[in-house]
Amino acid sequence: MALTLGIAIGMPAAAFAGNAYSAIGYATVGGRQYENRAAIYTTTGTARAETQVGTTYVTAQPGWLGARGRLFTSGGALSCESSTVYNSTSYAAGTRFGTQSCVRTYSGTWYSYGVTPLWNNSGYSPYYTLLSPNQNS
Amino acid sequence: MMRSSRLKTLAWGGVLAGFVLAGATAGLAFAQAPAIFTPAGVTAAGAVPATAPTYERNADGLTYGSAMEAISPETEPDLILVIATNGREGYVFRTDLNEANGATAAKSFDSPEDALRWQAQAAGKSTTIKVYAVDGKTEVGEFTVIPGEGGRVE
Repeated sequence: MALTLGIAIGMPAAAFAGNAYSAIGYATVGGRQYENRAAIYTTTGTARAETQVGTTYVTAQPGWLGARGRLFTSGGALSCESSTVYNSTSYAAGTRFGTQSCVRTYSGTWYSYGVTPLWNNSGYSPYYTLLSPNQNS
Repeated sequence: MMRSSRLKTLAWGGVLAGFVLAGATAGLAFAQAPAIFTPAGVTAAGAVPATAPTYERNADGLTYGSAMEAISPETEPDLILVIATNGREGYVFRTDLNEANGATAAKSFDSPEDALRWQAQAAGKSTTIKVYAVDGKTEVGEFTVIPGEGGRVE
């Protein structure tokens, strides 16, 4: 007699101290493709977020790339945020400009994402990065 | 407990294992890859767009919650959940946060040179804003936006 058993398991993502990155996101703005991602760096007792942004095919001229980082607790509270910074020099396609949030010296589980204001030829369009994986500190 | 459609992207979408036993013969097992959701206007390999959140409202009708649930700056709540410098949880006004982090200023920039001029002016300056209870009136602490420092990263 056949017996059928189905098991669904909801497993949280693994979270360890170390470095983790979101997937790379792509946005086409002002006829150019930009790419961005969030990074999170933790050691035992410390955590910091980083936002990275660049262009895929063309050289980013000064001021095209904006970035600010956000670090969140596992409960979704914003723990720290940096002000926006812009690239003051050119960045070749495939290279990345970035900025880091403050360092938090607590133990916990953290997430980060960034906001990247991108030059659209007449102003700035802000795009989020994807959310980083969670990391423990 | 988070309700974020973005946060769900970080948990395993679920590992679904099916076991089919027929007599003494073990059968099929399969696993589903974690889902990845993208913020508004952004694409990523193998990802699907996240949905905009619905936030609760306080007595004054202001939306409140975590900015981690938002999928774009426009979908952030009026009151954003933060950890104040005194360690207490509370909320900052989105408008205050955007003044502090340069988002408001960016709306007035007509050229990249405008952005770089603003950056030179703002360099090294921290901005502290008030943190409130969910009513948006009772002060519970402060939140500091630190100056960003940019550079090439790997």
